[in-house]
Amino acid sequence: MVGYLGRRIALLVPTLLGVSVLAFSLIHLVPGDPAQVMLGERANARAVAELRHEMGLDQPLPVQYWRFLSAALAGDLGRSIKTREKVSVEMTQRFPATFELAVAALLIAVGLGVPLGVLAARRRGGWVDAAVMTGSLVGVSLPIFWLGLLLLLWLSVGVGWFPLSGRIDPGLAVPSVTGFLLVDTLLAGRLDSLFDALRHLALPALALGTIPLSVISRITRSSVLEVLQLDYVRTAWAKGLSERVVLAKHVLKNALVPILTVIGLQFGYLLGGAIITETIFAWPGLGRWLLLSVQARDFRAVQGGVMLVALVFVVVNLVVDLLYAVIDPRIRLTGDEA
Amino acid sequence: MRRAHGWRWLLLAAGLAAAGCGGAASGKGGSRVSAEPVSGGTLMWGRGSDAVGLDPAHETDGESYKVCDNLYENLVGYDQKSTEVLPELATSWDISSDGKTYTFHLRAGVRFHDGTPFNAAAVVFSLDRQRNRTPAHEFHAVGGPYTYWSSMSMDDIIQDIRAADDSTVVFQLKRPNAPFVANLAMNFTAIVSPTAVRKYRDDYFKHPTGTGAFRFVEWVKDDRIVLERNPDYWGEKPYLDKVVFRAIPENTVRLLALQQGDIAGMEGISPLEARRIAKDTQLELHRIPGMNVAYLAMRMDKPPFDKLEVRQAMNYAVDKKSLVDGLYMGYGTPAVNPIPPSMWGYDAKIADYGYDAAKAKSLLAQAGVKPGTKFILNVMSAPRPYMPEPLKVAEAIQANLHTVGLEAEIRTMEWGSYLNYIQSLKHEACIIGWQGDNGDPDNFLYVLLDKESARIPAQNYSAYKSDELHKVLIDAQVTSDPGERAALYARAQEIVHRDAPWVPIAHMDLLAATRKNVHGLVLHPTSKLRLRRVWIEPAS
Repeated sequence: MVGYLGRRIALLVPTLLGVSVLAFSLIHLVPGDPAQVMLGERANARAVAELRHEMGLDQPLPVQYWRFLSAALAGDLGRSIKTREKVSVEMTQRFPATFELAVAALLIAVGLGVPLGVLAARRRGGWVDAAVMTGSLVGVSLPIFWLGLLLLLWLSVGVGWFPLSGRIDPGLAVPSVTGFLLVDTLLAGRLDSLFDALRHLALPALALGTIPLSVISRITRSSVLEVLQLDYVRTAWAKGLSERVVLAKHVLKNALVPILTVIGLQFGYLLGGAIITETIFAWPGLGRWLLLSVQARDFRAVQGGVMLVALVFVVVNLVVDLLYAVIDPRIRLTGDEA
Repeated sequence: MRRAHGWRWLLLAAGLAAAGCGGAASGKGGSRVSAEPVSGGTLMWGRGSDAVGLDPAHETDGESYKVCDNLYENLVGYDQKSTEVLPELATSWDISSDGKTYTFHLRAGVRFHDGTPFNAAAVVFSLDRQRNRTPAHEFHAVGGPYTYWSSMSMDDIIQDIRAADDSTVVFQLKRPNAPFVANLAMNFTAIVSPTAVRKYRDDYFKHPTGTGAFRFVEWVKDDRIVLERNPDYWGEKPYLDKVVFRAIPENTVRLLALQQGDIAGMEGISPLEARRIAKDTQLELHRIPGMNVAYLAMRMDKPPFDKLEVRQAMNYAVDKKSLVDGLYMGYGTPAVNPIPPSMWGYDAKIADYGYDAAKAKSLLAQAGVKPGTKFILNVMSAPRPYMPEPLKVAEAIQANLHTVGLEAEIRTMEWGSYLNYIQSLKHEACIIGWQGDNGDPDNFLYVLLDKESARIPAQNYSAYKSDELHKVLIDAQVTSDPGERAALYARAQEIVHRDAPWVPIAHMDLLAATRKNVHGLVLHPTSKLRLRRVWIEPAS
């Protein structure tokens, strides 16, 4: 186990190195000079030259990459060329917002998706199955910007249950300690702020959670169906065990490995930031920041952001792999097998 | 196809829902205006994106400036409604007879938000740090390059800045330059607290410290910037306790937030939304002529546009009025000259070419241009402050040109690539525009049409190189008498009209919206957003 973990962590190095090369080359391949983008219509020769020099753009690409990499290895991702803020600060300001939203969306997706999937499998061919499968098809196909606006019109403007945008009412804001609003409101002992933050979180989480919810319910259904046909399940039924025990203890536990894989992948995507959801709900997260950075050709921000997303993705996958061993003792994680 | 329908339905639904809310509220509130301004309250101001930074010398974007407008002041400021330059932190100034020495007398008893006294040293610090000179100012390399200083060619204007005494600053110019005083009213020449810059260095942009009517409280990136009333402000104190600038990127949601009352005012309004706001009884649409121009630039050094007749034909062929009525939905003015009619120096005597397809055809025939002649018309993909829907404008022009026998192939690019392409002068013809900086005609005519601006990266996208125009524009720079300058700019507009390097298209209106209980907002042609005189009528 320890050997496996060590090897997986060691693998992070070439992975992130590869990602850094990719991120660096892609943002530099995209046409459009960041200096020119920043100055817009009023770019004159001297202003462009000064800005390019300041950004190090007047150096050859390999030199630029080497500068970036050596600084990054020392833990310095540089300053965003657009905002002049440290890229690490830009990220730590936005990651908590993305993390809270991703976890909330995942809770909705798993909390509803797994039971619905199991139910659909158990009632295979019935109307429940049909409803869940149709619902999940619709869920995957709905454009988020449309769903998001619909939710806003209905639950915010229409019924008035939820606020329109942002993470918290500025009047109820609490001092930022961790950046995680749900934690900060608790630390400040402000239940009214916590409640307001949860109300702000609800709609974006619901909008963002629909696609993972649909994916998870579908994979749960097919995985459970497969296990239901196995002999040991027939034996469990024959022993006269209750439906609850058969499904929860015997079926779901064995069906969980593919479900967990999908959950892990979905969580990884969610943590990368959700551009459309963040835009509609004015959610100050990573996704929109990355998008704006790409548009501004802010290569330092893009490089840092892509590295962070890659790192998060790899870590989530690692955690999922470790969880396999926990839920299925047949999977042994040894250094040799990996 | 389906998507488009979904959107339209949604917009309609949004409109209906909003109308419902508005109607319900208007029964109680009404739109009475209490005569006396009331102090207190928080103004929530919505916009499409967050500020980039709050060191006025480093910023280049409007959203940053709109916050800075309330935190900082300059030696001179603009009149509330026009671009006339008035005293601000300087109470008066003298100009030497040769027009090269400007002496500013500073206001006494002013302090920065951190308590630092405002004085001549602070003025010299704020501006001197931006100059490119040897030896460089100790803060010249701090916080990135001073791009606006360079883009306004300040180093070509200023020889030296020095403090004669604690309350007097003297600017020595390299050559007489009349627009120079107007530059001192722009954001990049705002006066910052030297103490705060020394303390925060590279991070000053998030600890802004000026002398303005509001002072900085907090900034949560991509979410909100909070300012509060500066109790020690030297002038008339602001009415508002607090101002919160909120970033709400999605236009539909921002308007919903205004209709719901989550925010009390907003910017970033499309013509379509402006129409809906104008109909909403709970909202007020603010509208002034914008200090901008949208135009089609033709490369005068490339066929077929190297022939004057062809450029004139282009001007006759484009139906600007329909274009402004349709695509700007009336929130704009068809352009005749490069500068907008609201700007001083505008020559109202010049008659536009006017829409005349027959005349365009005969001019093309005269120039020997065969019907069906093709050229590539470049256009940006994203809306700009002077043009809401560039692609549709290009299509309308394409249709206009088709009727006179010119075939324009539209080519569009993403904004960054587009700028690079046209500033490298790789195009034959392009649609572009300009948002004025300082309210001086020089800022349009010299920047966009002088031969010196045709060097790559060019801002003179027609590659129009007229020695005659150059002489007039330089004369207008060195003359300080406003009457003489206006006459020179009238001459410049005549030359440009005659040579027709552009098809001037439109000047777009500047738009903002507030709820009916917000009073005292006056939009400014430079897009400055000054909230000192704004007050909120409390709900009764």
